[in-house]
Amino acid sequence: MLSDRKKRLISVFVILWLAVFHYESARWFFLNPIAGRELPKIKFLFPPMGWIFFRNVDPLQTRIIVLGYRGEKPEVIDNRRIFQTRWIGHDNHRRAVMLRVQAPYDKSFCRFLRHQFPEYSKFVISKAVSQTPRQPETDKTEIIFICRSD
Amino acid sequence: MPIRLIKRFGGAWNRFFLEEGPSVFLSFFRITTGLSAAVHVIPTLLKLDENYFSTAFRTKNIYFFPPAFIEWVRQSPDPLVVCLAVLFVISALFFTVGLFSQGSCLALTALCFYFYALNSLQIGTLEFEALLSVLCLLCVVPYHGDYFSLDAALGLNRNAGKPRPVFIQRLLQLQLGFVTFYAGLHKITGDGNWLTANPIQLLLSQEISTGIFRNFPMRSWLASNTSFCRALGLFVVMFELSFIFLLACRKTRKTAIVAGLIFYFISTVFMHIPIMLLFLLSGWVLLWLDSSPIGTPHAGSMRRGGR
Repeated sequence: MLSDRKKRLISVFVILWLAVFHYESARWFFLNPIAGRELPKIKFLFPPMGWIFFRNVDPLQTRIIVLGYRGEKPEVIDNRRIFQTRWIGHDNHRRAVMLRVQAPYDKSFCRFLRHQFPEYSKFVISKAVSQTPRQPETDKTEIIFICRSD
Repeated sequence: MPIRLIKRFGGAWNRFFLEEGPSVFLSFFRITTGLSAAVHVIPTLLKLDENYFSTAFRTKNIYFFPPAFIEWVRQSPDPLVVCLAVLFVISALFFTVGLFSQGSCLALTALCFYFYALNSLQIGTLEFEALLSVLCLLCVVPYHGDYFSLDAALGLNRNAGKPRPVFIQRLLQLQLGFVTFYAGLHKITGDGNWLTANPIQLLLSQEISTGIFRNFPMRSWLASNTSFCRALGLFVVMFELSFIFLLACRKTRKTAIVAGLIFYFISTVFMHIPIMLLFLLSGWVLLWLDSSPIGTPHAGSMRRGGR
């Protein structure tokens, strides 16, 4: 049988946990608009934007294309050669892992590319946006940054 | 009247959170949680130079961690990272088999936070953040080592098999129900587009080589069937919104658990989502087998009342 002190302790813990859980689950999309400002996030616990599994499926699909230059000759580098971590049962490249290389991480991505592929003198990183389902004539590709060897 | 209501609420609170019972399903959940952490983090540890060493391309989640904490973690020299990677594998193994359950849970949780802070690029997913919140709850008590554990088998846990407070099970049960509920709610509010667009069709129409759905027979037929995809999308939202209520109601609980297991299995088989989610959610939903809903007397209370 639990003592009264233990019961009080457990009750306080349960109330606090549930309060924090619901606060963090609703903070970004429900409480922030009501408050009209960004409410403080409780760090280390729960996702910053709440439980948003596939909440907004975008009809535009974005891919990152990395070109490595040997002299003046460009070569497409397969994204799976850039990040070679292999997962059990799924492929992280389909979960937009490459989109993270954009600003503010462009400089560190250049450093990483130069370390991984010393054989190339320059890298051009482009972003290709296509409609779903794909209509190649509407594809848009733009260079987002260039990494030089210097 | 208000006093009677307060008393009824107090009684329900006592039954729901402050009862004692066996931790069988919590112990089973320990195994699936340990496996989840292992299958999610260990693949990244096999490529330390790409993921965690000073040469790695690292991103940071400044919304989840205080920036000062990330900077502190990033000062780790590479040999320390190697030591902590080995420690991670040992703690995941010990936690899964239930050896020094609470200590290994604490170590595993701390190391999950460490590697996440060191580089959020590969392991930083919503599923992993769900796992972290679960691990934090499991760290609070040692009850998850009561069954199916070496602690119990070797006699290291003297309280194994004894009734334990059920509040952690209850919090985990509620958390799973509400996580699913919020997932459904976010799909249909704000800029969630599950009512205004046809997300299942969009996902199925992505290119096979880059899309989130795997290639399976009849995929292109499904993608071309607008009304079926729309109905499937609405079904997913309705399932997510009603899941917690179906679990809470004794009559529908077992059906909801089976439906949940099928849902997780189908999602993993047909989509590129981390396999850890299947382990985590399967063990998590089975926690609901070990429960009595708010307001319904627990079997133990009924027996005591009958004496």
